[in-house]
Amino acid sequence: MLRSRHTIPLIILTIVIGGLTAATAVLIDWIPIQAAEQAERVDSLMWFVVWASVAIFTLVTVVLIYSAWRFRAAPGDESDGPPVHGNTKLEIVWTLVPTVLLAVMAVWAYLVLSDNEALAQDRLVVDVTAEQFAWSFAYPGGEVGSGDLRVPVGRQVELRMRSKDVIHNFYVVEFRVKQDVVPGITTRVVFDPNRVGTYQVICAELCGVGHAIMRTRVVVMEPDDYEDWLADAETQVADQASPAPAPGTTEPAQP
Amino acid sequence: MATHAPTHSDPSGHAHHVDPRPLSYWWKRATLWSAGSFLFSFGLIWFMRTIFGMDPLWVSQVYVTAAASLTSIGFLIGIGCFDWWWQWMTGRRVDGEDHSMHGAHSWRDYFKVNTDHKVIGVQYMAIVFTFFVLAGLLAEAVRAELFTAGQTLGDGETYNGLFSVHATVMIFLFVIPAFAGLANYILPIMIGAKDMAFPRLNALSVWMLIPGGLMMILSPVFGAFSAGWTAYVPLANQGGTGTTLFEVGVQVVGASSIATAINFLVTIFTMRAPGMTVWRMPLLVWANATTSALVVFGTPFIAGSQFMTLFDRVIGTQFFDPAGGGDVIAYQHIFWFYSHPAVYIMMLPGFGIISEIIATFSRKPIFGYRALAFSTVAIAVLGFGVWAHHMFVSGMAAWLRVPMMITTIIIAIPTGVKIFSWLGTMWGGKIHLKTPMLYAMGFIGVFVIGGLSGVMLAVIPVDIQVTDTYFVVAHIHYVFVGGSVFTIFAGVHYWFPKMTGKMYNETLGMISFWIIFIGFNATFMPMHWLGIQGMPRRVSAYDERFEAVNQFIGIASIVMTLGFLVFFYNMITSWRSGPKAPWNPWRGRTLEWLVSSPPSLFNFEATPQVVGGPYQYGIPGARHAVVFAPEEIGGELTETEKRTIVVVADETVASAALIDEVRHRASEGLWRFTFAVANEDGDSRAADRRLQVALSVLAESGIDASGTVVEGDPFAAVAAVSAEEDVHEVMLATYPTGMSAWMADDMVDRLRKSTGLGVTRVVVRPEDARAPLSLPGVSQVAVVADEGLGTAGLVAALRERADRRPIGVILLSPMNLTGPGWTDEAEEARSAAFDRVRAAIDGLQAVGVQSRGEVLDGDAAAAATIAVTGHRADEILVIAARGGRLESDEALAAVRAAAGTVPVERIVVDAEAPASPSGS
Amino acid sequence: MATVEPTISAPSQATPPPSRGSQISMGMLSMMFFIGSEVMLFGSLFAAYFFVRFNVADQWPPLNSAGEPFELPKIITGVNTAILVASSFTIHWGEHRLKHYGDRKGLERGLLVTMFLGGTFLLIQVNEYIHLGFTPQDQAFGSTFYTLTGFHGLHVFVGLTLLTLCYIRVKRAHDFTPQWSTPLQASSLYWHFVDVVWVLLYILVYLV
Repeated sequence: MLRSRHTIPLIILTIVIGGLTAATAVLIDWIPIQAAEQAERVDSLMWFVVWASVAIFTLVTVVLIYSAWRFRAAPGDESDGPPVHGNTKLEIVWTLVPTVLLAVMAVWAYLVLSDNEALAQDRLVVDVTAEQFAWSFAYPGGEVGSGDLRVPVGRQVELRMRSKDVIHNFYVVEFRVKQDVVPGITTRVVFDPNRVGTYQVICAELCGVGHAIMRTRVVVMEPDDYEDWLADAETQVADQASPAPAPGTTEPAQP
Repeated sequence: MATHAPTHSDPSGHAHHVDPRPLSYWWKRATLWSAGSFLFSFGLIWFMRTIFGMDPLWVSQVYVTAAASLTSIGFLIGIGCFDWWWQWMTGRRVDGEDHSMHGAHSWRDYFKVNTDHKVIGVQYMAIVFTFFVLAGLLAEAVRAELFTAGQTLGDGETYNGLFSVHATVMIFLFVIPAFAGLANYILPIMIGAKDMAFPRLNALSVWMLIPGGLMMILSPVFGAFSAGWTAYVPLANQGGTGTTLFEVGVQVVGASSIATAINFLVTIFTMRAPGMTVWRMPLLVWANATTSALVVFGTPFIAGSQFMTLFDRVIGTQFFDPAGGGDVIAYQHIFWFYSHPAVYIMMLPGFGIISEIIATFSRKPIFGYRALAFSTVAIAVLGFGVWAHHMFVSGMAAWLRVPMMITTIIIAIPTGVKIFSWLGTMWGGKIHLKTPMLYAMGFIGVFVIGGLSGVMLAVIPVDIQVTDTYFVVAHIHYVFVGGSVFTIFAGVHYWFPKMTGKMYNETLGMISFWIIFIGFNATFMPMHWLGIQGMPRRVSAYDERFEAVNQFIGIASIVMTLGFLVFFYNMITSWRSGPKAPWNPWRGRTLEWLVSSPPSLFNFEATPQVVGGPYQYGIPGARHAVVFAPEEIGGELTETEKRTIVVVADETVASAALIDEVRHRASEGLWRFTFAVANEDGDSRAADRRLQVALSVLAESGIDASGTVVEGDPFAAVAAVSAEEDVHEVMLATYPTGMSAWMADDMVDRLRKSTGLGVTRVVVRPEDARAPLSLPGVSQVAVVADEGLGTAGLVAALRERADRRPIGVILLSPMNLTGPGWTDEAEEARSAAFDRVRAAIDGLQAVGVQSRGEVLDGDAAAAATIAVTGHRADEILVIAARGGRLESDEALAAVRAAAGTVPVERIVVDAEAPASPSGS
Repeated sequence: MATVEPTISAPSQATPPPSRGSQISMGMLSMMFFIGSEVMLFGSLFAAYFFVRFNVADQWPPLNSAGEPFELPKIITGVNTAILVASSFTIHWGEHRLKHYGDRKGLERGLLVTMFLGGTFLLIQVNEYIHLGFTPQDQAFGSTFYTLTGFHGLHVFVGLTLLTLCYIRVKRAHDFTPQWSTPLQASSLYWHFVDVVWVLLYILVYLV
């Protein structure tokens, strides 16, 4: 198939196009911050897929552009090309090679998925309620609630999510997690935050007029800070349930 | 503006009536029926709610549903889609071959119901491109809103409606019907058919797009449906009239799609030209057959899903309401079970178009034809098993995700095979970079990107990250614009000359391609980045940091729009005043290129014959099909020379059965005939006389026929003719099996084996072989004779006449009975007369003159009258036996008087000498 | 006759035979595809039923508003099923009489009996609807039940319409040619499809 007169131009084109494509992949800042263990696993898998894609795209584009240039009919040339109907060996190769590549991707993806969703024994379980157009979170004990999600770094968090009305979606870019919140059932998502910071929680399922602004934030804190915050919150809740006695009253109210 | 070349002889022989009713009649009818149905629907619902005591009486969505459905049906009735069927159903006489609503003679015919697939194809294209423009404007409105990071124009609800209607109209009213329309025009011609299997159903399909499309495009007026084209519950349940219009509109458009698909399937299965085996079908036919199967089996699922969500919303059922035990996610399963095959419905026909274009513009056979055919079917079949890859984060059963990932990944393999096969077709060819080829190449580049981003989306962990973001928006536009829009545009340019008879402007074509290509990539490539970075989809406001990129995209989309404007300008101006297109501007080989541009009313003069594959470029002398085309089409790939059938017969050559068969074959327009009379043991002069009769009749009918008498058997006959000219088929006329010596010798099979040609057998009964032909071209001679019958003189006289011109003889023997006809004497006289007549017939048969006879009670004058009035004789010959009754001048005068203008001649013969059967 | 026949050279492109596909009846083929699409339509409704029953419901039939499980009239519907199945046999009998004995009257009788049985089926169904004791709005159970059986009833109605048209044409005998049999065959195929769907429905929704 490849005669020597094709080889050099093909190599040159491959370098040019492959180079441009690779540069696009590498030089542009594609990848968001990684703030969870899930993110690292997903990103490596994605890079594999991206490089395989760069290779295939380069191959196809090189052949396409080269053919259009090299085999272009001279003006006035009305003749036909050679009556080649196929090449069984080549067809087998270009069926098997993608199959192998895709099989690798599938296996790797399965492994990443199981790792990403593996439940830890000591995970923090937070109940999430989504409604048009706000989030609310409830922490273990059932007392503490908040409008934004607060979690300690280094500990797995499991969210058990319910919707009051339509389908919403809990999405944090930096964790690489996303899960629909569906009325009538409880959906779950787990993540292992490993970077302190504040990140957006985005609703990623069209839920009506306010879909674009249904946002909140997730605050990943140092474990101590998290404990402090939790304690403060619990106190506040207790205060509200039974308000502090007014000065002057020494006895607690008798039932 | 007539859109078909003038018909030559209409081979079907039907007069082409024209619909006498003006355009305004039909539209008045349509308006009345629509308005009437609209009012009727309100009345009906009000009435039913009243009798069933339903409360409250006014539930708006019930009325909207009824009004939308019934008005659609009313419109279709009014515009005339059902007229013919109604008349048939109610038992009126209808003419199945009524072509008054067939073919376009002026622009008005495009605004009426028309059964011509070519007219319907153009109607489809006009409708879909109108919706394309409208949906495109909606997209521009979306980009206008997204030009700034905050909410600017209108409110969130309006915005949600914009992208919902944009997507719905693009999918159901542009891409899917555009492929249906292009195939509608081209496919029947490509398989050698005169039209689709069900032309009236075809017309109904295209007209259904009007009410269905109007419902969808007008929904913003009533409060647009705003839950996305996917219309997930429960959000869709919060919608109002707009959502109802979407749900009913989908049913109408879906029904149109299914009807068209059934039409295509039956057409492709049953109406391919002789010789077009499935492995000789062009790949566009493969693609449309597969797509049609997808439509037939997939579309009902979206119909079902929309029925259920409509019922939930309008009458309070609980299919998807968790409070009532319903399953929210079930909607998504049912919806995507169609909507994933839907994307293949939107791609596979495009793949077929690309196969045609790449082969033609690379001047090379398709590389891996069978692989491409199989991969098309594989994609369709596998496509039913991947739907849940749209639902990886939906909260569905977790165990389903990995199997769906695997099936989705598997589909990438046949898709890759296709791409590589197209590249293989281009490699080493003679490439002509015309506009269709540019779009085809642009398709390959862009679709590969879309496919690769699709593989990323198949990989579940990556999908979890990027689904419901602009990454998906990028992916879908890369595959839709690349896979659908580019292929549609490629097809439109490719077949523009065929459909309009004009050439489009090549420079404008290229300019429009490049602007669209660059604008498209600039618009949608950055969306990959936006998605990975976390911009969700279906939002009117987004993070500030994305604003610059969104503004760039907005400007790029205007560039793309400019490209489309150039395209429209090109199409419109070229159609109106472009240069006339030849029949085959691209030197393609498939059947549509072997007819005029545009094709004549019924496409082909005669059924084409497919003799080879459709992509045999580079093989000198290879043919895909033989098409008999009028002179002015001509060209290296059509045949204007007729092909020869050799007709082998002996005494059967001048029989009505054989003549009928020859005429029937001649009506196909493809054939000329060389007769070879295989004279084995008879008189060759007699055989020649018979042959001349046959040839004369055929010449009179305008059929090209010639012939010789060959001494020998049928093999010798065929060999003699083959030595002189190319013979393509053998027609063998024999007596019935059991009476035929040739059949006893297994002549048909032996001829087949030794010639390698098709052999048709025509069965001629002996009586038919001896009966004289009374057809134009044969002079009818009535012989009035008494004792003269059975003499050699009679035979000689008629033999002489036969040598001069072909004759058919009717022997009339007047007995001149004076008394009652039932006496013994009369009986004796009659049987003697019959014997003489039979002897005369035998004698004449031996010299090759076919005759029949009658014995009459009356006299010669009566015989003459019967000859003239009953048998339309061209001349009367009185054969008078010397000394017999007919010799007298009175008899002659009486005959002349009775004959009127028909010439009468008298010949006197010797009665004693009996006719010798072997007279020459 | 000579024992060795001369081989006569002829162009390799002899008249191709007509494609085998062209021998299939277009009317029947289109009815088969149409029935395919109808099967898928019922498939989507059955899919919803299966989701509701096996994915969501704790028990089946679920409890109605009075705390009792929903009840379906199995016996009377069983009889109705037998009526509908019988109607498939009667139309088959009618077609058989026409095809093998040229007995037009037999066809007419078969059609009439089939229509009568089909009409009876519908009437009994309507009566059941009135006496069921729950509505389509009564939970997903009611919704799936009414939609499945209701769509089926509509298809029975369409089938009856087709059979009526066939009957009218048999009586008028406008074009009683062999080609005429296609509308009859197509209509009877549709009727059999309607019957089969019902049997499935009865088994899966009423019995199992």
